[in-house]
Amino acid sequence: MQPDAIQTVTEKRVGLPALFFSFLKTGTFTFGGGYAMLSLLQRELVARKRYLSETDFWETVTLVQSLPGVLVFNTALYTGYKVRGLKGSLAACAGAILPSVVIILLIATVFSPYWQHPALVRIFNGIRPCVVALLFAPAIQMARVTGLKIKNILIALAAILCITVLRVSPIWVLLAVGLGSGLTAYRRAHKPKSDTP
Amino acid sequence: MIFLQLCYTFFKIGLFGFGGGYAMLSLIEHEVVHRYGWLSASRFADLIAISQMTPGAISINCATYVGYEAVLQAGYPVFVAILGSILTSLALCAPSLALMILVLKFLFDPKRRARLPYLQPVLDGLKPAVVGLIFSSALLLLNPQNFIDWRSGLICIVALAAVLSKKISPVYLILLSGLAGYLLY
Repeated sequence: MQPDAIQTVTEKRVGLPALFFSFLKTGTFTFGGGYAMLSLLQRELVARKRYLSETDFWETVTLVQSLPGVLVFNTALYTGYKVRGLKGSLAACAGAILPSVVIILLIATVFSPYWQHPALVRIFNGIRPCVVALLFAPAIQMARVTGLKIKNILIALAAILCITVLRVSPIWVLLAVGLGSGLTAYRRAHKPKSDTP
Repeated sequence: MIFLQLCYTFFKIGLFGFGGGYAMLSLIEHEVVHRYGWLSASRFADLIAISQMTPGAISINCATYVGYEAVLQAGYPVFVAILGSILTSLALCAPSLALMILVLKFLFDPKRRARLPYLQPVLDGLKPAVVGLIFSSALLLLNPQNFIDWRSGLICIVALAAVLSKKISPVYLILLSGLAGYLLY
């Protein structure tokens, strides 16, 4: 990575409205959030508008994935920044959030009186177990990617026990595991020094 | 009061939302369903389905809806609820803005990055915990309100097999299971 990666500016100055509409468009047409959005964003930002180079784009995505927060929002934040600084960030973010807020508000205001409608009750009776399946699937896929080592399985099981049975907040689980892995890394880094005189 | 609670809760969720939308659902579920009771477990499942079927990030969609619903339940009129939902979405995204400034200062600068040698091990160590988080949110929804009888179990198993085979998009799967629910019940 070049140190001046952030300062790289495209030859032609990108307009703030253009940046806003790029994210508005990808935000309106991606379903299922996060990862589904990446390929659309890549096509819009890299192939069509050439705001970012291919490497810049994936570098941003890799960085953003390890940060907390909403993936799409963070991607907008960083690409906006790379293209037009803080103003660009804000324009891109506004474009990224707007479709979600508008559509959900429409549903909330229009839909709520009909929750008890018999047809909707039946439809949602069918949808709820499907949602549970939709949550198990990424958990299983992510478990495979992370690797089925005993250590990983134990950490995951402990997390499940804490959250579902003991009703500990997931935040404490994340803090404890983060602290634990930091400390093990620290001890591992400092052990060899004392062993080899 | 409700506004402060919403802002604080979703700011916290944004700050600790490691591992993407599904992992964040576990944080949202803990706060929204179990701590404050803004939504019931079955309404939360409905909300996940709606967030999946509508465009945009799942967590922002959830924040918008929860903000609206919680303010409405507190007895405010609709337009205040709309303001509440916008505020909640912004609160979810606010920590990202603050973190970006830190990240641009440290992570994009290789010299400073070298001074943070334990960052990568910590992020790697969090991965199995995130797997646990996602499993937990699925397990907590595995309750009698969402699973009324054997037909629910059947839908869940078929949907899981379909989703793992990766041959069908989740959006179609939700639509199909809605149809199945309409026909079966």
